Amino acid sequence: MRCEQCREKFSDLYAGELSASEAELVRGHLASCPHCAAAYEQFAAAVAAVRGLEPVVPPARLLDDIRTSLEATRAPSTLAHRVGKLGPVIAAAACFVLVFIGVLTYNNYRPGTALDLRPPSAIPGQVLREEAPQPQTEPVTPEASEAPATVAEKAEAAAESEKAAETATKPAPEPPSLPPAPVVATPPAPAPAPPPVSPGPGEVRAEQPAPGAEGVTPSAAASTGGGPEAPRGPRRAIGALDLAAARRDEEGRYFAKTTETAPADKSLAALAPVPETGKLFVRFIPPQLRQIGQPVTSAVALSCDKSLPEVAVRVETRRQMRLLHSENGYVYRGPLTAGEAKQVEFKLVAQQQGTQRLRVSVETPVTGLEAQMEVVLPGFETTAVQSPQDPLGEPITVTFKETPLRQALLQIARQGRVNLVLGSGVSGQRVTYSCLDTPAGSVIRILADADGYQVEFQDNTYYISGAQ
Amino acid sequence: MPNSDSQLVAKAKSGDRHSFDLLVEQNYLLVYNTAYRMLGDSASAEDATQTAFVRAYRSLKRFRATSAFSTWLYRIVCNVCLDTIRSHKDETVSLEVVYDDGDDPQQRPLPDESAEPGAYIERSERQRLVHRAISQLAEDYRMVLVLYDITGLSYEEIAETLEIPLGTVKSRLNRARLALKDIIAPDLELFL
Repeated sequence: MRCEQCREKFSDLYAGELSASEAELVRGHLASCPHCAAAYEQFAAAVAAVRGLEPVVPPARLLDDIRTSLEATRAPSTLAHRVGKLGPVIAAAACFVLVFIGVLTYNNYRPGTALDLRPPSAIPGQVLREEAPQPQTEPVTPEASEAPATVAEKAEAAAESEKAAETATKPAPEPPSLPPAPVVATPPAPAPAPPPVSPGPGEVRAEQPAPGAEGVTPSAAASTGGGPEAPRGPRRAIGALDLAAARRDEEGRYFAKTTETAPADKSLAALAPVPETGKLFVRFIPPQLRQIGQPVTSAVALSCDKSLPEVAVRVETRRQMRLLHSENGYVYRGPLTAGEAKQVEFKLVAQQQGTQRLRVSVETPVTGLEAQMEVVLPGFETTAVQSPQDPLGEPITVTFKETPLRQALLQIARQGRVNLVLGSGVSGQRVTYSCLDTPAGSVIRILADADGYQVEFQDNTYYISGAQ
Repeated sequence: MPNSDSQLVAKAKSGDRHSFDLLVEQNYLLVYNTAYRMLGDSASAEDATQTAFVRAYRSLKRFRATSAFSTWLYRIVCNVCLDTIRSHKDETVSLEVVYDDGDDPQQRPLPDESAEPGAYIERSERQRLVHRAISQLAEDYRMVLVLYDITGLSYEEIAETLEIPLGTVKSRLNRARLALKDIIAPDLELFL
C-alpha cells in the first residue's frame, strides 16, 4: 500500500469503518511507515480538536433579530401593496375600458367605417363626406365648409384614442426593483479597476466601471488588484432609497436597507444628480500621538472628480478603542464637491495599551463607488508617545503557511509596531513565508512586492494599494 | 409533549406563525454555530442565521416532507454561507476572534503578542487556533467538515444537504481533515 492510498483511508480508519482486510492493510502500512504513522497521529489529534470545539453562544439579541426579520417578512400588506399586486389586473381592465371608449368614440364620429389613421390627404380618392353614411342623409351644404376640418379633427381624435388604447395595452410599469441590500456588514470585494493615472501615496482610489463592462465588479473600492466578481444590478437612484429607514437601521449602514413598500424619499430629488461614474480618492491620516485614555485626532481626506450629493464616512473600532462624537460610527455625512479635498477629522480614545485597529469605510450613492481600509495603529502607551519614527519598525519572526495576504500583513504590522493602511484592492492571495528577526517594514515590502502591490511610506505609515 | 419538527412544519405551512417561531427557537443555536464555523466570525454568522430563517419561511410551502426539516434547513444555511463566502472573497480579513471557553462570547481582539512575549497557552488558545484553521480551509472542504464533525450530520444527511454523492462527502471530509492537520501542524504540541 502506498502512502497516498493509506492517507485516503484515515477517516475510515478513525471511524472504524474499514473492513477487516482493509484495516489490516492500513495498520500494516502504519507500522512500517513512520511518516504515515506520525501523520495519522496528527490527523487524529486534529479531528479530536475540531470535535472538541465548544458551542458558541450567540448574542442574546439574535433570536429577537430573527423574529424581527420574520415579522418584516410577514408584515400585513398595506392597501398600496395590495393595489400594487393587482397592478397588472387593473392595467388590463383599464386597457379594455380605454379601448372600448376609444372604439365608441370613433364610431360615434364615423359609424360604420373602418379606422383609417392616415391623414385625409393621404387617403387616395378620399371623399370625406362620402365615408360617412349618415351624413349622406343630411343636407350637404350646411356642413360643407366645416367638413374637412371636422373630419381632420375626427381623424386626429381617432388617432389619439387609438394611441391611448395602445398606451393602455402596455403593461403597467412595475416599481423599479432595487438590488437586494447587502445583508452583511463586511465590505464587498474589490473591483479590478483600471490602472491609476497618478496614484498619490497612501491614497485609495475608487472608480465606478463603465456601464455594461462585463466581468467587472461595480462594488467596492480601491484602484487596482483583486479578482473579478459578479456584477451588481443597475445603479440605484438616490431618490429611491428609504433614507428614514436606513437611518433607523441598527447597523447604521447608510445604504444597506431598502424596503419595497416604503415610499420613495423625494426629498433628495432636488439635489445634484448622482453621476453615473466617478473616481473617489481616500487617504487615511493617522494620529501622531499615541496615548491611551486621551483623545487623539485622526482624519480621512476625500476627494472626487464629480460632485456627489451625499457621501458617508464611517469608522468602526474594536472594543478597546472608542470613537467620540459619532452616531453609529458615522463621522461625516454630507456632499462632496468635485475637486474639493475634504478632510474629515475624528477623535479616538484608546483604552488599552498596544496596537489598535480600525476600519474606515466611505460610501457614496453611486453603486460600486466606495472605499474601505483596514488600519493598524501600534504603539499606544500610558504616556504620550509620538507615532513610530523608525520606518522599518521592529524586527519580527514569523512563519506563514497558505495564510491570506491581508491577514499576514496585518499581523506583521501589529508585531512590528508599524502603521499600516490596507486598501481594499489588496486581495486574498495566500502566502507561504518565513523570516527570522527581519524588520517589519522590509517584510511588508517583500510580501507586497511579490504580488505586485504598491507600497508607499508616508506620515510614518505604510500604504498598500492594488497592483498596477 | 414537545412538538416534533414535522408537526410544527405542518402547522407552519398551514399558516400558523407561532409554529414557525417554535421551529426557530429549536434550531437557531445549531444554525448559528454552523454558520459561525463556516464563516469564521460572529457578525457574519448572525446575518447568515437571520437570512436562512427568512428564506426558510418564505419557501416553506415548497418544503416536501421527503427529507427532514433540519436537512432542508441546513441546505438553506449552507447556500447562504456559500453566497456570503463567495461574495466576500478577497475582502477584508476579520480581525475578530471569539474565545470559546464558555465565557462572554462577545468578540475580543487578537492578543497583542508583542505586549505579552511570554504568553502561556490556554485551552481557549487551542480553540482559537482550530477555529482559525477551519476558516482557512477551502469552502467545499470546510462545509463538509463543519457539518460532520461539528453539526453532527451523517454522511447521508450531508450528501442530501449539499446534493453531492456519498463518496464525495467521504473524500472531501478526509481531505478537509488532512488539510486541517497540516494547518495546525506547527502548533500540534498543544493538541497531543
